[in-house]
Amino acid sequence: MVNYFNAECYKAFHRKYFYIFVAVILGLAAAFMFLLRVEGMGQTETADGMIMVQRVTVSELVGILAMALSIGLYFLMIAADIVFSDQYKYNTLKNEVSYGLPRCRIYLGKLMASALLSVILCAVLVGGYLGIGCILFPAGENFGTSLGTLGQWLLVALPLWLGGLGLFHMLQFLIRGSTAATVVYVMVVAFLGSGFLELMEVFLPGLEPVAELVRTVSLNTPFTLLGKQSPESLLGYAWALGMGWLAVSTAVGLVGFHKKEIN
Amino acid sequence: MTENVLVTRGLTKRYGSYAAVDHVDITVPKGEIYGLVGRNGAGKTTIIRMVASQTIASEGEIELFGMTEERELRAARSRTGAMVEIPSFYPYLTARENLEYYRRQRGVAGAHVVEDALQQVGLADTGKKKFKAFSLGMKQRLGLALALMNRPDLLLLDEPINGLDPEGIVDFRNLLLELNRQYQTTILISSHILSELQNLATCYGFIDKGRMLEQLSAAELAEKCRDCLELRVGDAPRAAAILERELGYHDFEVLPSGVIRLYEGLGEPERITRLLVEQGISLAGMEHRGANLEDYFLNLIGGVHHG
Repeated sequence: MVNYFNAECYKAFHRKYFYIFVAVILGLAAAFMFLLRVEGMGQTETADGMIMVQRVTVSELVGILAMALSIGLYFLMIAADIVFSDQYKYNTLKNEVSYGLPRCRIYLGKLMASALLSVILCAVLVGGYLGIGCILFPAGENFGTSLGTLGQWLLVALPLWLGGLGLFHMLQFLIRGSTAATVVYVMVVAFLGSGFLELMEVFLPGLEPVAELVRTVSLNTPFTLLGKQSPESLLGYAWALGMGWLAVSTAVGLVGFHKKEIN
Repeated sequence: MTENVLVTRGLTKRYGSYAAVDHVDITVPKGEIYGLVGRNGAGKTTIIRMVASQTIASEGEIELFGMTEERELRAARSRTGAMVEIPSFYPYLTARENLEYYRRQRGVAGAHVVEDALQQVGLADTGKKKFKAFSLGMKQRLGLALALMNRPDLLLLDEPINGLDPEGIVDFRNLLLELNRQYQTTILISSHILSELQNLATCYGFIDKGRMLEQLSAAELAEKCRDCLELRVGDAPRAAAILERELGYHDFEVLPSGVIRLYEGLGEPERITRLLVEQGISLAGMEHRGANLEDYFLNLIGGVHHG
């Protein structure tokens, strides 16, 4: 498994894809922050008619980041895609199975490499975002507290991202074609969130228990609760939900891949 | 006792009710170059894919280096090198990077094995050229480099010379012969370029419509393909005795169908005809026959088929 993991990391870091993605996202973040620096977060008029520009602090940037953590459910597709590398399009899996590598090792090796790459991506993007913020803005009074809260929110988000990664990984292995796998994943993650529930309420108002169940198992739900509840109170739920998705999708993926024809 | 590297027993692959491979028994002894001969769609690739675990057999057993259990088979497969259909690699990596990826993945010790494999197939100077920019011939060579990287005891090659230029074909043939001679590498090779296969193989398996028709050694094939006079006579045993007694011929065979295959006196058909007629043997026909691998295969499957 160590050899397999080592090889996947070698391949991932030899792709421009990874570096281009990081550069684009950090570039966009820098542009966004530059605009914030120029424009401020808004303007208020004082009693004596003066226009006050609300200056931004890094603490506020941390708050913005925390609100955007659910985007990680979609960013993880990039990490998984870099590792999976269109195996069915390029037919490279045959080189692995014909050498006698167990399919279980292939599946889990790629999953582990995707997870590692996701964590690295997360660290680079969050670190880069905060780094640029620290260069352009003052820290603010509650900087230390904000960072602590961000850490707690990340602890809530991490298992949910891993659950999403397990699901996307399963879809990549079971569906021939990365685009189809991506579409199904986005539908499951996005649709099992608010869209599906709203439709259920309109068309099937009597199925409230089902809607409640869907709401409970949706990977999006803890993110929607982050602003309303403390991160500590969500930790258990988020870890149970994320690990549940990871375990179930990995089990289904392993069984499906075991029987898969490799062309 | 001959050690067999690969044995299949009743190997079958069904897609619904259609049997792409139907109860095929193959025996590949150690150190042999086994040529799998068959038309397109005969089942050659499916057999190799089953041996290489790319597709799962519907029925039957595969024995590799004496191993038959799934877990043991996986270990045995690490002693093989496979090149099935068009070689597949990551298009955005170079030849060296692709091989390095698989070297790490397989835990093959020593970074030099990548360089050695590239040298062996003549791809050492491809530099930073990505796989996606390779010609088909270069892709085939890289596929072979991967198959050779772990110095395999068994090579599984499916149509390996497709896309190679004439010089590449000669290099490829010499490389396989060298591997076979120097390291006793056993090779299972399928090809529909039969003239090329004839230059390599030491034994053959003829397959048609998913079924194994015949397995024989190159010596047996040569024997069957020898130039001969084929005589269709009324009383074959008596005619054979006359030829032996009167003309001193000993190198012939009498087939159950009343045909005598005579491997000497090929330049004396008139003399033979006269003798047999004088001795009261009815002669229905006489034909000078000789066959190569292609003729033999076509005869075996019952002539040229048009799809």
